[in-house]
Formats: sequence, C-alpha cells, structure tokens
Amino acid sequence: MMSMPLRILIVEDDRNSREVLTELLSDEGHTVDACPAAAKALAQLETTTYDVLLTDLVMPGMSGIELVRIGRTSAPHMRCFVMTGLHPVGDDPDVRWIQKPIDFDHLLERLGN
Amino acid sequence: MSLSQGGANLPDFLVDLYRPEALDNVGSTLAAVDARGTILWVNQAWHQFARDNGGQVDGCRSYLDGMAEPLRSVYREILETVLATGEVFEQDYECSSATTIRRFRLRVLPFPPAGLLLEHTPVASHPAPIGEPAIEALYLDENGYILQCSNCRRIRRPALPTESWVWIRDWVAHLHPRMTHGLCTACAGYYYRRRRRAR
Repeated sequence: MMSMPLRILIVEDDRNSREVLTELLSDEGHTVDACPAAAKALAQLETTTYDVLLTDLVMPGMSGIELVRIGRTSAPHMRCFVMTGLHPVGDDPDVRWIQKPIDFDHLLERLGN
Repeated sequence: MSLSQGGANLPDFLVDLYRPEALDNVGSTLAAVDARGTILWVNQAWHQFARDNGGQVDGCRSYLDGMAEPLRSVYREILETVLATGEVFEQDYECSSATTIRRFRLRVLPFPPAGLLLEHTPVASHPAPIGEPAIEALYLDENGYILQCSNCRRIRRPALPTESWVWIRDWVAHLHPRMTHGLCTACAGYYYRRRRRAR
C-alpha cells in the first residue's frame, strides 16, 4: 500500500546508492531531491521544506549525524534517518537508523510511520 | 554475427536495470547469456581479458564452449539451476598462470526466464596485515575513505580508470575504521532496480 507522498532529501556520497534510492522512492510517488554531500544538503534545507531527511552516516566533510543535528535547527519537524553499513545503536530523538544494505520494503514501512 | 562491443546492445532483460556505459566501466568481466548459455553480450573488460589471454570472444557462441567435459556439464547444470530457482550462485576459483597466482569469484545473477548475468571478479589476498599503509593506499579514495558495497562486500579500487571492485577477505570479516558503504553497479541493478520490474 502506497503511503502519503513525502518530500524527501537524500544525502549520499555514493553515486550508485544515491541514484537507486532516488529512482525507487520516486517510483513510490515521493518527491525526491538528492545531494552528494552534506554542505549541499544544508543549502538545500535553507530553501526547501522536507518531510524526511535520509542521509548516509560516513561522508566527507560532515557526518550524517552532524548534518541531522544542524539541519534540525532550521527544520525541527523533519523526520531524519541515517543510513549505515556499520552496527547502529538504538534510535534516539534525533537519529533513526537505517541498516545497509537497505531492505527497501522496510525503508518504506518506516517512512510510512 | 559478432558480439556487441560494449553496452550499446544490452539484452532486453538488462536494459531497464543498467546504464550501458556503467557496465562497460566496471572492471569485472561481465557476460549476459540466454537460458541455454549462449553469450548475448559482454562488457569491455571481458573483451580486454580475452585479448590479454589470447582468447577470441567473437568466435565463442556459448559460455560453455571453452570448457571441457565434465566441467561443461557441471556448469550447464549450474546455469539451469540458477535460472530455475532464481537464487544467486557464487563460487571462488583459481585461474593461475605459470608466473601469477590468480583467484576469482564467479557470481551468476538470474533474470528469469530470459537469461543470466555472469560476473568474474578478482579476489585479493594480501600477504601483509591489514593496516599496512601500502595496502590501504590502494583502496582509500580522495577523501580518505574505503568504499565497500553493502550487498556483496567488495571493495572499490578508486585509482583505477574503470570501476573496479575486489573481494578482500580480511575486510569482509572485519570492518576497516575508514569504511563507508555504498552499492557496486552490479548489485544496484540486480538487487534494487530489478524490483521496479517485479512490481
């Protein structure tokens, strides 16, 4: 069942991952923008209101966690997910983890909640 | 009829899943075969490997042609089974010369009922321990990270002109502290884009 369309910002430095996520989430009816780096994402957050931030954890310049904490200051209601191939600890108020390799059905479930 | 030289004529079962130029920029040797093992397409790395080893890609109509019995029957059965079950097959094998020991991993990705994608990737086995700067330098990208495919666990070698992914046994078992995770081209198409067709 398709969830309500969301405006999603993907931040992922790996091109294959970024493109695949953009294609699949767009296919689900969501409006998706994608950035390869946190600096560009912060600029994007200044001009556009997003429902969801979906960011990689390990990126050059700024980690996904730092991006979430800074991004939240301008968008306190935005839901934020951090993707990682490492072993994440439990969710906290700022960060909800998405394990890589991404189970796309699981990701859709979490976006729908 | 000769095989297409590169990705421009990908078989129909791969067209929606991969950009032709992406598969040609992959360092692993790739071949698309139909249900009988007939080679429909190979990437540039396959052509290069054939040239380097005195092979003739254009004269090879079947993936099984270059094999002698009983190996041919075994691999015919593998291809048939993978296509019938839809389950990925992986196998490490040695392909050494008189002067060089080489190990590869074969992955057979099924796209039932049309065909299969065969991928041969080098398996690296470095004698020095992990942490050796000379070895790390092979895999660190310009930002100082090591990119691992989160699906197949291969490591990208960023300095090479083609997109090259290698299995490194030690880094499959133990994550390097500078590791970051993405997707290799083969896994992006097979494990993610393929679901668009299934829906």
